[in-house]
This record gives sequence, structure tokens and C-alpha cells, in this order.
Amino acid sequence: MTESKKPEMPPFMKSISEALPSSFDVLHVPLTLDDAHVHLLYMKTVVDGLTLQQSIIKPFYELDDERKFGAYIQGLPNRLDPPQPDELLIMLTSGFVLVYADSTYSILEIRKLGNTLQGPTISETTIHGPQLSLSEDLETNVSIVRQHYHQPNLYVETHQLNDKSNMSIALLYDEKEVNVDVLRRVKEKLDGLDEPLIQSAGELAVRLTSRRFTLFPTSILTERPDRIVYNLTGGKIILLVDNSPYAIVLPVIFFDFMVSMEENYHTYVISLYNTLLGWFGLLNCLLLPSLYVAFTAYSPEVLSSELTLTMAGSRIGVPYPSFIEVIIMLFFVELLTEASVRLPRSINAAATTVGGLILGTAATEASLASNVLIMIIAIVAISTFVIPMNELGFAVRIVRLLIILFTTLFGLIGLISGLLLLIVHLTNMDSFGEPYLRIGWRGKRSEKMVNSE
Amino acid sequence: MSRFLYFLIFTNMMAIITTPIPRILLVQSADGAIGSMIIGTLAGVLFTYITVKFFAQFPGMDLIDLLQTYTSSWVRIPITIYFTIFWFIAGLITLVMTVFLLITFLTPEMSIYIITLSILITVFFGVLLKSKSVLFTLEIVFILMIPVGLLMFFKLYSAPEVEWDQARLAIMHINQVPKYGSIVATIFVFLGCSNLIIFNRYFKEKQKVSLLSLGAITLFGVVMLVTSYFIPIGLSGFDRIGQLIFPWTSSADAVRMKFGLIERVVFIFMFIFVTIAFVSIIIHWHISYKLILSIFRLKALQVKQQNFTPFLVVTVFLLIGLWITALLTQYELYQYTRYYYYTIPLFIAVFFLTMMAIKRGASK
Repeated sequence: MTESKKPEMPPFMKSISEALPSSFDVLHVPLTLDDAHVHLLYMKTVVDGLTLQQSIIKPFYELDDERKFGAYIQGLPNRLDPPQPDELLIMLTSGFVLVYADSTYSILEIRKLGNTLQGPTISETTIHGPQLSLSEDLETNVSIVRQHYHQPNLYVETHQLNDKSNMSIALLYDEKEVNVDVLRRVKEKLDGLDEPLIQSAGELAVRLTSRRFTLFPTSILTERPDRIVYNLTGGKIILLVDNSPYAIVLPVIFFDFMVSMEENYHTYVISLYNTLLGWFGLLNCLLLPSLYVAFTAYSPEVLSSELTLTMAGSRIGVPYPSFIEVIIMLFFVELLTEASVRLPRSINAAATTVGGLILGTAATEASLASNVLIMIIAIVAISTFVIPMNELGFAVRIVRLLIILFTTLFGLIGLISGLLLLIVHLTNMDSFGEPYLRIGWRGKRSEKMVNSE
Repeated sequence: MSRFLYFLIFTNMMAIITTPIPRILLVQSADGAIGSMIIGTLAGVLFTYITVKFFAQFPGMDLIDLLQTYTSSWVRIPITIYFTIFWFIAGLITLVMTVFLLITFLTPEMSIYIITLSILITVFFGVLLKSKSVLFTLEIVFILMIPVGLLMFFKLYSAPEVEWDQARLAIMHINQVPKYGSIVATIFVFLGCSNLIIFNRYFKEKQKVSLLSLGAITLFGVVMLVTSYFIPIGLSGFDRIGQLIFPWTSSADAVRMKFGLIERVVFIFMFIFVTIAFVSIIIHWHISYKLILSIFRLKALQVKQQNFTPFLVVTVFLLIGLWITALLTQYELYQYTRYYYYTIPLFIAVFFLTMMAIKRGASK
């Protein structure tokens, strides 16, 4: 078809087309058969070409009549009336097709779906639970949740972020269980977002918290469909973000971070044991380095005399006070942990093992650190990974440094003081109006709303 | 009754180890202490009953609201100031005693200012919390302490070092005339429920005082009194117990855990009691701070939407605490604390009169 034969574009479509940038993927396709004329305007890269061919172009040539084709378009389930031009432009960039047929405009959603593949779970692996995580496509994710949770009271509301990405997000909740106050607060926050660019669920979660300098996360990021459903039944709100394989769970309490989904798939005693292990890991991770500082530098008399002598003997030759020792070794282990995350899968095991082993042995042989401390640091490093949620692990790693600081300054009483300060800080926090740290007793109906996890 | 009310009452009972109360009782062990404890317990339980009953009539309202609604300001302001001082001193005694305990047993070479500061940093943030968060903190700490507490009671009551004959010897002195000082000190153990004057705001459902809950309170109080009175006597002997400055802690140091990581169990005990003392100071000063803020708020400290009066008040609390801790000697602390406990009947009288005034205002 040559340029001269191309039929004239209808005026509204022309104005829209002029507003679009002249990039290679903006297509205006006129379809002509005898005296039937239909115009399509879309962006090639976001529209699914095959579906377009099947559902628009092929029927046009088969029906052979503009009126009939117009009626056919009117009857399509993915058809919408065209909105205001501004909104229409955004819709075109996200995979809608503007159709002019039988002198009416329609807009059809023929979106090329993003990454609909469900990858294996990475950050929250379990042995017995579902092995697949969310995909990177919003609709697929909503459908995954729906397939896990067959309830008519599961509400899905879609929003569009008003930043540069114009990303769609979906708000999922069980209408019977949800806390209405929290829902209102979350919607207010979403409407009040004032960020130039939000690209992922993690970023959105950070932007949703009101305080700027926070250490502990006030929402959970999860990739597991079973955790999403588990939280939905507990009356929580799930935010799904397009192009992100993570969902945001709101509001959370501190104890939610200590739940591994694995615990639901075992017998009571086994899961209790696992829970206790998790808590023990958390305490280890928080307290062991500070206890070492307190016991070697301030109050060796607290421990039994044999243990004190062992520790003192192990520290023979170490040329600096124990808190410097602890901070140096902790810093190295943090580096190792960080390196093992960044390195490619194939070599990270080797790198960390070699790094850890050699560093530990060499440090004790050079008497720059005591053997006892190397053991403590190793235990702490392992304990960090026992904490079920990754985000809490990060927060704990930082809090640990603060508690070491308190202990260095004030000794054993500083350790108690620092720990209490942590508790005070956590009870003072709230997640979308719900107290962050408090004990929810399962039996009481009045407290069940947010705490069923 | 709400579980938080139990926590408030029990915390006050457990915090007596870090006040001079055990010493006050033990000094008079041959002089009517047991009789005083019995009378004090009865009076304390009665006080608890009346107070909880009274506040149950006004669910969701604290004393500040009640005074503002039902009394005139010339009643309100003196009462608020009196209660502010009363609660502040209660926290102060715990603070000073805890610091003395720590400097004697845990870190004798550290400066007293540093030890006090290490406590006050956390107390500063604790006092500034929302009242609700104070309750949550209290609950978490209390629950964390339960396993350690059970270990403590088990160790203390099963220790072969405790000579129960000495305790029986002490019981022989039950026929002595009770003394005023010991009675009021015992009543203080049961004053925990008066913390309702602020925390009643969060008890929105009507509290029911059943016989069972009163029984639980009595039982816990008696166990704490027995632990703080008879255990030192059993460990250190009846005759010279009055001469110890820290009778409870010094005596408990006799108990050993042969196979434990921590051999001297007294450190585990101190861990519990110091933590409880922290929370107790936070609760007392929080109430004091709330009361004082209800009658005074400086306009000069208003910066944009934030008023800095709370920070000023708590800073003043901390400075007084630091100053008094450095100023007092062990002997003075003991003496002044006794005088403080002597005023408890006055406090109870004012408390009941306030209640009556509020009830009269409410019935109008």
C-alpha cells in the first residue's frame, strides 16, 4: 500500500496520533476492503500482535461489512469507551488499541503480557510448601492469588500510581476480615504518594511508610503465594505491583517476621521447635557479640570461673580491647555475607568458604582475634540466616551494632538498657495505625483482626 | 480484670527487691515485721479492691479527665501536683536503689554518673512513649521475664543453702506488736493498682473484680513478700540479718548453680530485678509526666506543630534523678525512703478523698 492511497485518518485519531512521539513502534494501520474503512492506532511493542491479528484484523476481512464489524467490536469483552485524551495516551502506552470503526471510537485492551513465568522461590524457600513464586505480571499474579483463594469476598481493586512509571497496582483484601481503618489509611497513603518514580514493590513499600528514617520494615515483602493467602485470611491487605515478583503485606506486627511458611506444613511439635529455633537465632544474632564484650571487658565474674578462664586464655596475645576485636571481626563477616549475595551463584560458595576459613584461622594465628570470638562470629553469621524474613535480618544486623555500642559504653547494664531501648522503640512504632510490637493472644476475638499470624 | 492491670500490680510487687523495702522489713524482723506484713497485706488488698472498683465505674477515663470533668480547678491542680511528686519519688527511689545495687555488685569500678546515665537513656525514651506503648512494653518485658523468674523461684526454694529453721525462728516473732514503718512499707507493695490513674484510659471495658483475681493478687504479693523476707533470713541467719545493707542480694549470692554457665545465680536474679526496675521507673515517671503535663504546657516551647514541653519535663526528671543519685548515700536513701513510706496513709487519704469528690461531681 503506497502513501497516496492511504485513507485519511479520522480527526480525533489524528490529534491523538500527533500527541504521540514519532517513534518506530507507534503504528497507524488502516484496514480497507471495498468501501469499508477501519483505523487502528497502537504501539507495536506493548500490544500482542497475534491476538490483534486473531481478534481484530481477521474478523474484519471475514465479515466484509463495516457495520457488522462495528457491532462485532462493540461486543468484545475487552472494549472500553475512549476516555479523556491524557488518559488515553497513557493507556496506549500500556497496551491498548484505539479502533475507529463504523464512525465510533473504541479502545481495546490487547496487552502483551509481561513476564508471566513463575520462577522458583528464592528468598523464602521451604521444603514442603509451594515451590513457585509470583510472576512479574500483575494480572497473572492476581490470577495466582485467586487460584489459591477461592472466595467471593476477595476484593481486588486496581490503582494507578501517578508517577512517571504509571504502574498499575492491585489492592487485594478479604472483605469480611479486613480492618476498615487500615484499609482507609492505606488508600490515603496511596493517593498521597508524591514520588517521581516508583519501580518495584520494595520501593513502594518504603514510600508508604510515613517516617523517613526507619530501621524496621513496616510491611512484609513476600514472593510466596501461600504467604499471601495466609495473610489474606488474617485480614491483611496485599499490594501487588506490576512488573514486580514481590507482594507487599500490610499491616504487620513484629511477630509476622518470625513466621516461616514451613511451619504450617509440619506437625505441631516440629513447627514449635522450628519457631523456637528462629527466636533463638534472633537472640543469638542480637546478643552474642555484646555478651562477649560485656563478659570479657566488664563483668568476667558473672560467668562460672572455668568459662571465664577459658575465655581469658583464648584472648592471650590479643593486643586491643574486646570491643575493637568484635567490631573488626563482625565487619569482616558482614563483608563476606554481602559478597556472597553479590557473587555469581557458581563461585560464591567457594569464595565465602575460603574467605571465612582462611580469615578465621589466620586471625587467631596472628592473635588478632580470640578463638572464642571466631566461634561466636560464626554462630552469629549462621543465626542471621535462621531469621525467616530477610528484611528483619538486615534490621537486626544494624541493631546489633547499636547494642554493641551500648555494651561498650556501659557494660552488662548497657546491654540490658540497649535491649530495653529496642523493645521501647518497637512498641512505639506502628504499621498503618496498628501497634508494631505487642503480644496478640489468639483466644481473644477483639485482638484477632491483625494478629492471626 | 484486664491482663495489663495484673502486669501493673505484679510489676510493682516484683520491683520491691530494688527498693529499700526488704531492708526496712528485715531490720524490724525481731520487732513485729511479720504482723506488720499481715496487716499491710490486708490493707493493700482492700486498697486494690476499692481502687479497681472505683475506676471500673469510669471505663476509658483517666484521673486527668475525671478531675477536669467533675471537679473545679482549685481541687484539681493541688491534687495533680501532689500525685506528680508522689509518683516521681517512687520512681526515684527505684532508680537510686538500682544504681547502688549495680555499683555494689556488678560494676564497682564504674563512675556512678555513667551507670545512672545508662539507665536514664532508656528511661528517657520509655517515659516519652504513648501510654499504650508503655503497657505493651510492660507486657513484653513481663513475659520475657517469666522463664527467668520461674528459674529463680525454683532455685531459691530448692536451694540447700536456705536454712528453713532460721525462717521458722523468724516466724516465732509473730506475736510482736506491728510497727507503723513496716506496715506502710508493705502497703506500698500493693499500690500497683493506683497506676490506673493514667492507664485506666486504655481499659475501655468494664473491669470485674472477682474473688479469684483478688486471690491471685494476694497470692503473688505474699509470695513476693515471703521471697524478699524469709529467703534472706534463711540464707544469712536470723540474728544478724538487720546489719546487711543489701540483705536480699547479698543473701541470694549464697545460692550457686554448679553446672550452669552462670555459677552465681544472683546475677540472673539481678538481671530480672534490674529489668523490672527499669520498667517500674518508666511506669512511675510516665504517670508523673502525664500528670504534670495536664496542668502545664509552655507556649514558649511551641516550634511549629511540635511542643517541646514533654522533652523539657522528662529532661528535668532525668537531671533531678542524676543529681539525687550522686548526692545520696546508702544511709540517707534508707532514711528518706522510710519518711516517704510514712506518708503513704496521707496518700491513701488524698486518693480516697479525690475519689469521693469525683463521685460527688459525677452524681450531680
